[in-house]
Amino acid sequence: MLVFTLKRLLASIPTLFAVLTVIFVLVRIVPGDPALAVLGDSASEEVIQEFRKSIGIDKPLWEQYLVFMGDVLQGNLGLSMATGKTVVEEVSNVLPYTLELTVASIIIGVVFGIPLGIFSAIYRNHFFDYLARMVSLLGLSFPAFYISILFMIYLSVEWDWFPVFSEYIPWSDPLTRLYHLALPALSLGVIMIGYVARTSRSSMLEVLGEDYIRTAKSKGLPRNMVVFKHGFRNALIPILTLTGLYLGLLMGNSVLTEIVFNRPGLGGLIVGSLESRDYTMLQGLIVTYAFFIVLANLITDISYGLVDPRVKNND
Amino acid sequence: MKKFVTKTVSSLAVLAAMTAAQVEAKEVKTINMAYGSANAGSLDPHFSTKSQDKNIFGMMFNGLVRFKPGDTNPANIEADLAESWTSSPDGLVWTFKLRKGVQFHAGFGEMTAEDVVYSLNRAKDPKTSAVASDYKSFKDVKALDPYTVEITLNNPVPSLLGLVANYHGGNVVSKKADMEGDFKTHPVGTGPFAFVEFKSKQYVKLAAHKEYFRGAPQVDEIVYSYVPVNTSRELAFKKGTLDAFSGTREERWVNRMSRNKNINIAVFAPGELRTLHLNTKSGPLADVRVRRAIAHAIDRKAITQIIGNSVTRPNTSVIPVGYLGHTQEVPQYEHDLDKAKALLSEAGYGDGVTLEIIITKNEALLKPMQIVQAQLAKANINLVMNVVEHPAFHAQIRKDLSPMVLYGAARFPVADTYLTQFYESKSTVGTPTGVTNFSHCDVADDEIQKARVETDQQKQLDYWKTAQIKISENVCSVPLFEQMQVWGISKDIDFGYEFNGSVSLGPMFNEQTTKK
Repeated sequence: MLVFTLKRLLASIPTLFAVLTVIFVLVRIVPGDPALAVLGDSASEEVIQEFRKSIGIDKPLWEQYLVFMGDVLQGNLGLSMATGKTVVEEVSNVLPYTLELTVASIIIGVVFGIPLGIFSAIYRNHFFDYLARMVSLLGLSFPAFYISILFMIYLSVEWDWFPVFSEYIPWSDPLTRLYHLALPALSLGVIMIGYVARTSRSSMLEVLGEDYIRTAKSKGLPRNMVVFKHGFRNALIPILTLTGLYLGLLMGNSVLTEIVFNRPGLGGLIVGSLESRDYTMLQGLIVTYAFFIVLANLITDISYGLVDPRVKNND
Repeated sequence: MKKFVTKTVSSLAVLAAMTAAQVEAKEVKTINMAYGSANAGSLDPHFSTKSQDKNIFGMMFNGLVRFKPGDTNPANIEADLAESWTSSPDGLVWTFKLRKGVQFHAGFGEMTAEDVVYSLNRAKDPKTSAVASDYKSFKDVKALDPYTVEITLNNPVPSLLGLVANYHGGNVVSKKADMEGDFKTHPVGTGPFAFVEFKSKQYVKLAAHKEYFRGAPQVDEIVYSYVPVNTSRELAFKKGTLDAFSGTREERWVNRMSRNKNINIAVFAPGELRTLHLNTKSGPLADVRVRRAIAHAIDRKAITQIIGNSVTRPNTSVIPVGYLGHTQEVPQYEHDLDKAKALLSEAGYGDGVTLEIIITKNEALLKPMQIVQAQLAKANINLVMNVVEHPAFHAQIRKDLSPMVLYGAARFPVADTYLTQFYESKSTVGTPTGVTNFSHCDVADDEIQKARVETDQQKQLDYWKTAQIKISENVCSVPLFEQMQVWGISKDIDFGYEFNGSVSLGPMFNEQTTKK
């Protein structure tokens, strides 16, 4: 298991390296000037040049690139061009909020999505199936910000169940923190339910059509045993893979959700940094996103081994 | 499971009871306000000129003098940290007597002449100030005694009081705080509200400065949040989470929001003059007849009708209404398509002109630009618009990439700032001293420079008037209309004074402000 994990870790290094280079180029291709964005539009050219010098963007590109790569290798993501704080500090301040939002909505997605998908596969073409498919289609087709605003209007403003804005609450007050997490997590969770249910249904359908299920049935095994032991365990593998992949999608959608609920998190940070063309911060943020997506893939890979011993043995 | 549910419910009940008890124990009066940007620019009053930051600076800092609360007229500037002032007959030496016993926030002690000298020198240094060029004429600032400051100038300036008012570089900071601590993250001033904390991309929290020299504020806290999504701000106001928020500057929005019983829509000065700058040095626009054709082809009334009369103000001068030196006595270009077409054929463009221009995605500028595009098309002037992100727009127009630039700005309300930044040749974009002269205008340099150092006020006004007339005659730009500032404010809030405008571009709550 350890060797397997190490191998996967090593394989992700070139990926991260390529991502870093792409990020560096990407943030600089976007037209705009961090100095202008920070100083406002009545700043004179002289002052703007002075500021450019102070944040190091007056240097040639290759030099900036070397400095950036050198720093990243030492775990240093630099200073935010707009606020002057370290990027690591700014990111780690809000990272827990994005992580808990993502985890919470995955939990919602899995807890509701998998049963929904499994049962709609078992009761294929029955009323329940149609209903479940409709629910998941709704989840899939609503944009994140739209669901968020709908929930905000009804669950928060009209019925007054949740706060409009999701704020900074320390973990010393876990209930309030969860209370603030609920609505954003639900908005994202609904989308996750859609994806997970769909994947579960098709995966389960495929497995139920396999020969070994027929064999199990003909052996006279109880129906529940066939469905859950022979069927569900095998159906779980693609569900896990895709849920891992959805993490990327979820992080993208979390940006929108966080902004609508004005929730602390990477989303707000990324929009603010784009607005102020804060190159270092953008780099740091995308590195963080890339890191978590690589990590999610890694965890998915490892969890295969746990669910399905065949994967580990083949490797 | 049952146990878990019971436990959760009971702990929730305890929590609710605790919260209720807390609320009863100390009723903190907080004004929650939100602005439609994603974050603060900078918390340093000499460093940022962005709207969302100015609003906060206005409540945290004082200048030697101040704009009367709720007023943007420089003629009504009154005493603030200074009690009185005198100037030499040539306008070169200014002496300010300071108020005694003014306390800085957070125990940084009494404000003295030393702090004023330090602040003004800081505002003059391009390393620490974004507005350094405004203070170029400052030769020397010195403290004659702890309560007297003397400013010596190289040459007279159009509005010295403006430079030492509660705006941009005039804000007085604590020398001790700047030397000892990290001022950029913990700004210290003398204003009615003191900085408490800044959560990046979330909010800035201010608390009442109990030792404020005009008396302790009646509101305990101000939380200034950054909420970029318009709908989120509106819903939060509807729910009561917000007491004040920046609105959408359109009549449709004003009408829709007015249905809320608890809202006062504040439409206030300064107006941001939306001006169409025309590059007078290259392409078809280099011909003044083409520029005049454009001026005649534009129908201002139709533009303001679409945006809404309640949130706009008409203006045909290149200087915004209410600025010292503004005049409406400039050549007028009435809406007349035939005249426009005739001017075009006279210039040799009988078949029409096509121009490729750059414009921002930002609705506040994109929308009027689209209206102008439709209007000009009727006169055979076709605009091909490249719509780009807002920061990209700012960067590209400063590289002189668009022959036509629609720009909206509010500046310090003296004609000189507008004329210098937009119409003096040294401010031409693409040059080392460039600011925002997009039109390459150079027809009024002489008047602009003379007015700047003229000590006779009438003569100064005359120079400014001539400058406006010349710029108008040459159509360096076509002023379209003024866009006013729009905020939604809860009826529970009473400013404590009549609020008609704010040079800080947002509602300024002070020691007189109360909340129900």
